[in-house]
Amino acid sequence: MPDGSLAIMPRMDSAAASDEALVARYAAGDVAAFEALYARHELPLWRCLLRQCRDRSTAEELMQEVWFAVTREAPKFRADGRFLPWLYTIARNRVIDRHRAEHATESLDAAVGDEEPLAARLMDEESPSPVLLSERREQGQAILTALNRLPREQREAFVLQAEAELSVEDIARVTGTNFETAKSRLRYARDRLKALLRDHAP
Amino acid sequence: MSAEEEKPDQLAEAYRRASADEAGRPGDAVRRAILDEAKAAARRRQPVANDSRYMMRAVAGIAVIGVAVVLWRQMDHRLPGEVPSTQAAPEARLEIPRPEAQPAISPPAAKAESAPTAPAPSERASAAPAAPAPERQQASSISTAKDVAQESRADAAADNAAAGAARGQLRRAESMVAPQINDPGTEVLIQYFPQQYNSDTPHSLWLVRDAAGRVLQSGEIVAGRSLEDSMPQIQQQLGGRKPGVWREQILLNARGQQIRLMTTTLP
Repeated sequence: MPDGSLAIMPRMDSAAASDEALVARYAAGDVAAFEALYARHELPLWRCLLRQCRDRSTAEELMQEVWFAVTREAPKFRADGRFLPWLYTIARNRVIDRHRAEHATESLDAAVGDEEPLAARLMDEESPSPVLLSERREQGQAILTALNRLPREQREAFVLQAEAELSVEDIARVTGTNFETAKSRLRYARDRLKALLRDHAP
Repeated sequence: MSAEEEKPDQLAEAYRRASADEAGRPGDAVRRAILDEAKAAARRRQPVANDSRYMMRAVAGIAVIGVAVVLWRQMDHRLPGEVPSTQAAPEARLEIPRPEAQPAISPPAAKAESAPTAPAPSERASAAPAAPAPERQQASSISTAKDVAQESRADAAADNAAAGAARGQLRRAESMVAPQINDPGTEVLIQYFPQQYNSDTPHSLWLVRDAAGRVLQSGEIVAGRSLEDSMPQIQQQLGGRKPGVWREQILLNARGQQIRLMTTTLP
């Protein structure tokens, strides 16, 4: 461990410890617990941020901000709370703050209820369409491109489920909506992605 | 919510594969910055050693422990009616000066040397008004006598004997405790043999002074050996000088154990 002098709690197997236990240990000074927590959630959070802001350097800044917030707020983390919704709520707030700063006049809710067929929208875009990407057998890139064309809320719900493996209930909690809204966003996102990929498959 | 929506499906799996391939990881600099910040934040939360709150707590803790020790040492740990250990061998306290013995250490000289840094038990007890031990001893002895008298009313002779024994105990205790306190030999024990003074076993000790009364060397005679047996080692510690006539004192330490103290003066 890089800095054992800070560890004041009894050593436990960090791999077996719950997220919540690791946060508590870190709040008590155990840096190794934070390292375990970070290693466990680094990639899912990183991908979520990258999908939300679509820019690597911005995602890196956000990544740093989110984990810095975790280090600051860890002592306030409630013992009966759950870490994942807490972490992704922090992340979402950072993304929103960043988005507001960059697009001060754009409403975050503008895309909600946008029922325009995704395929039609994609065809109007200058970027490579999923059809072309599929033809090039770049299905993965097609999915990511299609995802980028989803309304922000749908993309967010899908990514939170696919990357962070949050339940619908937790997605609702993180995004500050109710269960039904979160469920609808997920359904729209999945239906659109599926339809697009099915219709335009080679 | 359908099961299909709750569980990751093929779409989600395909997305995850694509995302993992494309996203990679955050840069090493980001990871380093985050972990460094985590360490720094944890360090900031550590209590500072010289924080006044912790200093006050430490001082208060030490004070409480000190008071507890003082109280504990002042307590009479004997059971009611228990004979004080100093009474077990009253004759043992008597000095047995040999005919050729040197004069006893004069109290002023001993005090000049001792310069005690902490109050010794005998010093605490030597204060005449304080003298709690004899009082407690007296009370407990009387209590024992009363108990004996109540239990054996049918036997007046036994009652009288018990009361007489209790009074005898009191007299002996009073006569023993007081002189022991100002005993120069005990002061020597406290000052030069503190470990043996608080020991639970008997000891044989030796101490050599110079002509001015200053203590030059002291030590313990190994159990089972006589002073004569130990003389070569003692002479060696004295740089080969031969000590004068030895004077023997039989004392009792704080635990009532017999201490044989051999003292002499270098010519």
